[in-house]
Amino acid sequence: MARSKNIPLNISGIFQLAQKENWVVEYDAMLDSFYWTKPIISKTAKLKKFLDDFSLYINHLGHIEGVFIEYAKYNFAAHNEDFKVLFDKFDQLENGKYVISTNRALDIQPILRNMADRIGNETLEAIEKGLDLNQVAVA
Amino acid sequence: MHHYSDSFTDFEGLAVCVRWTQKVWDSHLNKHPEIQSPEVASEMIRDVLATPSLVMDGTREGDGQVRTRCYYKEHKRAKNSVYFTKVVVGCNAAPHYVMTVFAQWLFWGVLVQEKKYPNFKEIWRDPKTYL
Repeated sequence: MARSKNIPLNISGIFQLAQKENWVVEYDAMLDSFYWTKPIISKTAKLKKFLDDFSLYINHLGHIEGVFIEYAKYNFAAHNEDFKVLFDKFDQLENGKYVISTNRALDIQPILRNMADRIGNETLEAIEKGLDLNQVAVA
Repeated sequence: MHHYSDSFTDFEGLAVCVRWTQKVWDSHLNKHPEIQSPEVASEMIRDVLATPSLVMDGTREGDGQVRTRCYYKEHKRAKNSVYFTKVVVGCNAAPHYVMTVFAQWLFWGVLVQEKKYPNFKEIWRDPKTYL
């Protein structure tokens, strides 16, 4: 991350958290939805959207469990060149679901790190505009 | 064989169905644990479709044909946020069919995603909603 701050919810540590917890990447082509989440999301996790393009799964303890992007390929990536390549890496599973195969998992790490950095930076900008992350955590 | 199927009527009297296989259900349940069970999911869908706070039609570029309809139902507001359920319905088959349902918190200053895109048009809005 270009800037660092002690952010509640550990938003600055999403990439490291994802690696530690073996988050999985999935694309739902029918919904054009992108998920980068824990393999099993907790029953207490809620989707919270405080950034323009990213929603975060946050559980009752304030722990982040994943990232969700709506209209991911045809709007978000289409307007964000850095992420376009991510959608070339998916393999079709079934029912319009796409996953990243094991042999491509390493290839996408720089893209995911970039995404995590962007979430961190956009969160800092939102905080500067008045966002209270403690309120996000408890909502 | 569908693991989860049900039928609904939206606020305009349009028929909407849900027909999900076990795999589709399991995938949705993992991504959106608040749906809990087919019974709870049906309650959520029925409520949103019947009395939405906001409805937006998404059209396909080129022919302008409505491909999806997004129904939102605002449930409650906190100091700086709003909690809602969203149901996305596919409109390219009859009856229309539920593609997803989930709940979300939205914080002030952030728009529901469809409002960012010109191919989505608001067709219904409760004047009291924040959404």
